[in-house]
Amino acid sequence: MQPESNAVKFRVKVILETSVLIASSTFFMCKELKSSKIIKDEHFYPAMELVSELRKRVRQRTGVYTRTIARETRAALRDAVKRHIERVGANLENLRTILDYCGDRLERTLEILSLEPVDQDRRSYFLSEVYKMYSGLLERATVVTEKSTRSLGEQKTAVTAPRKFWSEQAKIQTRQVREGYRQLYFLGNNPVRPRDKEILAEAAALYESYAAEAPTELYMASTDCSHFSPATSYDGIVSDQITKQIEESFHVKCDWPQNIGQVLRKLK
Amino acid sequence: MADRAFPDILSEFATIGSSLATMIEQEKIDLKIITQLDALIGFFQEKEKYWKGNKSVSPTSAFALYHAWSNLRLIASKVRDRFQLAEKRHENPKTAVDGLRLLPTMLDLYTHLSEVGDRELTKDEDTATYDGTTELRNIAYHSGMLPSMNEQLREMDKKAVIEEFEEFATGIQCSQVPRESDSGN
Repeated sequence: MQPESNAVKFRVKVILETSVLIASSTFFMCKELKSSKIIKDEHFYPAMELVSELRKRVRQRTGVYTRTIARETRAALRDAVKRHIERVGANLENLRTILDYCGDRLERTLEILSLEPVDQDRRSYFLSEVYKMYSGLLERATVVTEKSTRSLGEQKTAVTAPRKFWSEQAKIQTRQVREGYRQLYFLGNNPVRPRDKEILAEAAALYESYAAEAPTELYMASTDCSHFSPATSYDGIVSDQITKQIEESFHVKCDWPQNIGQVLRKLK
Repeated sequence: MADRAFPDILSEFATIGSSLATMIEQEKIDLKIITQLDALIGFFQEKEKYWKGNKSVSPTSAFALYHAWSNLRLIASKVRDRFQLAEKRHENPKTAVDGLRLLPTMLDLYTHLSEVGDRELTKDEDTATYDGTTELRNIAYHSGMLPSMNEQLREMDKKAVIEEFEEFATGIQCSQVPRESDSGN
């Protein structure tokens, strides 16, 4: 452990990504409506808890967002309403109320966060870096296929299990291998949305400007485990190839709201 | 009422604006404004009804327009309620100040809706319609002119809203989270 005098004190900043803003707004409305079905949901609840934690830290300006995030979140909420209309038809009056109050909750949440200006030149620079990073990851993802993961699972089985259990064990090993590479596997089949790349470029530009002022740890809270938060299977296998790469390349620590909430609670 | 021309409604806005300015200047609430607001509310309500059952454009455009007109009606009604209670609550001339704060945004949204008229919204018009409505609700909230959820639910079937909300929230969850087994723990 380093002596107290040498320890660098990092300030913490947390960017709330679209998925968390939507989840927390939905949860707050769910609470007001006393909807028992959604209230204990494992994704909505932690998002709301993180927002509550950031509300306590308004004066430290811990929670931040950018204009792009606000625009994209509002659009995502409206798109969800449009999808709902197209899918189920919906009672317009009910849907108006849902959009109004989820939207209001979103606006109130944005009011406790700091809207950060982003240097547009640095954003453009980082956007090209983000594109480069994802093309590198895509190259890695091309080797993560059904066939290669099955082959790896079978190889692992051959060295770890007795022959008579091979068939069953190979299925388990293959599943575990796939879970372990799930972020890359998902990336190979679902290209990252341009708006997510823009948000990441803005986060990278923000880290750069924060770090120029003072030592900073920048987190990005997300429930999007395809790349902005580690994907963890029910039996604890973590796939974080993309989130780790983001941290390595841009110093942005992408994680689930509950994990970032824990970091904040430990701070004085 | 819905057939009233754009200049007529603009003139209603101007009359209300002038009444509010006079009330602030004289520090006295004039309940004559209730009749003026009723005329606007009636107009917004007709438009709201028109878009609620409209099939001449896509359901998503119809909803965006219904949503905007409906919010104009709801917020104008809340302004009316605030004036009715202003003396009892000793909110003179605060109610007029709050009303005057809100009026330009209401006018902006009304002007935008008049411009887009009865046609299918382009992507930009759709965004502008929602943004205008959000802006209006934000200013109404900070002026104490936004109906609370309970006030709004009073005229609706709460159980049906909850059911619709649960279905909506489940849809959001499915689009955000690729698989149920993923979690931060």
